[in-house]
Amino acid sequence: MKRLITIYDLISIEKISNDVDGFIVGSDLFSTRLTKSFSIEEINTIIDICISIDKEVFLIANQMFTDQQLEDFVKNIKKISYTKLTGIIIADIGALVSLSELGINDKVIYNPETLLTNSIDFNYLSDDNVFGAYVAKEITLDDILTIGKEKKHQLFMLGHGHLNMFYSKRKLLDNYQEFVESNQDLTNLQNLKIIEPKREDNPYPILQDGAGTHVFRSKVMNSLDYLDQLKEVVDYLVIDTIFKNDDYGIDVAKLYNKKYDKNAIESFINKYNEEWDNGFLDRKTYYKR
Amino acid sequence: MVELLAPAGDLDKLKTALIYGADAVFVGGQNFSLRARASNFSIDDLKNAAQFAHRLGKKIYVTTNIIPHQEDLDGLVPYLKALENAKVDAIITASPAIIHEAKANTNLEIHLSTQQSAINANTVNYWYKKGVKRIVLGRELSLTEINGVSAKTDADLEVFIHGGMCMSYSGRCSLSDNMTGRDANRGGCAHSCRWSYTLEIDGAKQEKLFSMSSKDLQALKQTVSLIEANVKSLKIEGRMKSQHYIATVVKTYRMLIDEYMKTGKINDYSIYESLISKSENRETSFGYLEGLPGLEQQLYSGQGEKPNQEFIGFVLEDSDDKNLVKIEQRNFFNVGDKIEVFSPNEEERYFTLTKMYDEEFNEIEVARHPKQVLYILIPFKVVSFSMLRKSDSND
Repeated sequence: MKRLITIYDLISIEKISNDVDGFIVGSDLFSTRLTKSFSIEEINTIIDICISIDKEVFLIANQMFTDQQLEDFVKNIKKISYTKLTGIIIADIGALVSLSELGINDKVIYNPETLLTNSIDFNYLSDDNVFGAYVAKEITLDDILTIGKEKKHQLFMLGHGHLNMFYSKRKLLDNYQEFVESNQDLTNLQNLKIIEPKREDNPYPILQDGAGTHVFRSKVMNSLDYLDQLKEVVDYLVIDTIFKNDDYGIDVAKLYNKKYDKNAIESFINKYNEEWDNGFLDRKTYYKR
Repeated sequence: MVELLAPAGDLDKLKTALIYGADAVFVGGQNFSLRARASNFSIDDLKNAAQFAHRLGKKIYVTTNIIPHQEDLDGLVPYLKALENAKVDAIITASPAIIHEAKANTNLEIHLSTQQSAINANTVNYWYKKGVKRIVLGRELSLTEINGVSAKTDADLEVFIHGGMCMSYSGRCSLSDNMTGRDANRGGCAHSCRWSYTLEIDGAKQEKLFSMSSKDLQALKQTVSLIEANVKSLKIEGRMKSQHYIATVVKTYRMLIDEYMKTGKINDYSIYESLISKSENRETSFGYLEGLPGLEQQLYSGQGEKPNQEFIGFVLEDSDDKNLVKIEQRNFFNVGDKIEVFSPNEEERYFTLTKMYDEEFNEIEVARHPKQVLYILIPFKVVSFSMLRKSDSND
């Protein structure tokens, strides 16, 4: 199982590189929910750095696209050294079609967040010869293991971080500021939370970026307790450092690289004053019939 | 000819939608369908529903629109075959697993659910090439963008014109899953996006509550543009809505579409706005159809729910020869009240209630019991499936 991480500053790449197999970078031109948005020039630099130190590098292009935005996406991709990328992570099937037209469907990793919840859905794009796909964040360890046994392409999984649970195209924080008649621009601020009265102990981070508004889980999801089982089926475990800096990235990458160490985990949680859980790995969602 | 597509939570609502002018209805079966709390149809119900629809020359689509987990796939193929056997006209689905099995094992027509958030021509054409005949577009598109997609595809396009709005990209929200454990993509959505929240900026709680709640969609003034964009189906949302709501909304859009088809224009939108307002229990707006929604398209505290007590009875049978009409009570009313009769193929008519009887024909003055069967005197002929509303009109 390889480990990938998002980064805040390209100068941190070498510091983190001992503990991961590759990096995920993006730009607000076509990505959303980024730890940091990089320019096209910076992305090309990062690609070269990663190649020079023998690390994999993935571009994340996870916005939902209208026709016009897809055209712009393709123009921007052409400015990136895309043939050197290990892969391109997308959320929109339309982007797969555009990248196929560039002849790089074999670099595509499909991550529609919530949708790949069973083995048939997970494998569906194998006919398109994609690189891989992310399993949904909302399924159990057992479901991931079942999908993994039947996988036809690389299996990606978000293994650590503040996971997203809501993506709206609307600029909800702009609308709120208009409602309260404030001129403060809340776009891209990473210190915002929303609190539901019955769940006051669980403030949810909220972010408005160029693609819309996002709400995140209150607790940091981690998968350290289950790594031994996940290694059997997961090809790429992704550490998402949104809302964090690279010091955090360096430390968390070490945790996932070292042998399981309960004391080190507790020390980490105390250092960063975080609450952790296992997401849905050990918890099933339910619905009424 | 554009299709007017309406929701139906049960057989009565299905009949109401079709009688009031829908060309097709979409319903949930008892498996693989979102809106788990809507009274979903058994296979026998679906057979009856399909027969009723087909007798009127209309269609019925069944939602199989959950995002299935591994365990949910058990029984999928027999269920799809049963739907085909029930002669439903299409399934609406979001899962490639269901698309794959439907194509491999049945001849069911497949429509792609909005849960897949198809918002560009590439995505639409991708699914069309996979054998999906119709694509329900994501709600995040403007009229201009819909027009653009339509120009680049041979797929049939379906667009929402009325009803509730997901605040998130549909299918990509797990607020409910995370906050309540209820799986939004398997029919358990707790509508967490409609709750009120306190916004905290850098640790400071803001005084006014934060809202993610959307006004419902109402696209009367955008419907003509959608028809001109060659959209094949105009969809009303709301399988959990009442018969009165469905009748009112369907009839309003039916009249509007018919006027446009007959005359090439809409003479007076206020007629339709007035009619549809009688069904509304939430504020409405045009969603994304005129561009990115701003504050005006959201609900903030003090707005939103509008209690609707006007609907007082549902006509169970046609008038008898003494003009006595068997009805079912829906809200409180009295002898002496002025009442509007709303029927499928007639203009609204009004009368003052003078006589009312219970089911044993005891004369009564007050109808106070929900669902009570009553007989009332209406001084003109009315047909079953007509609706009675309290009226302030002087007509």
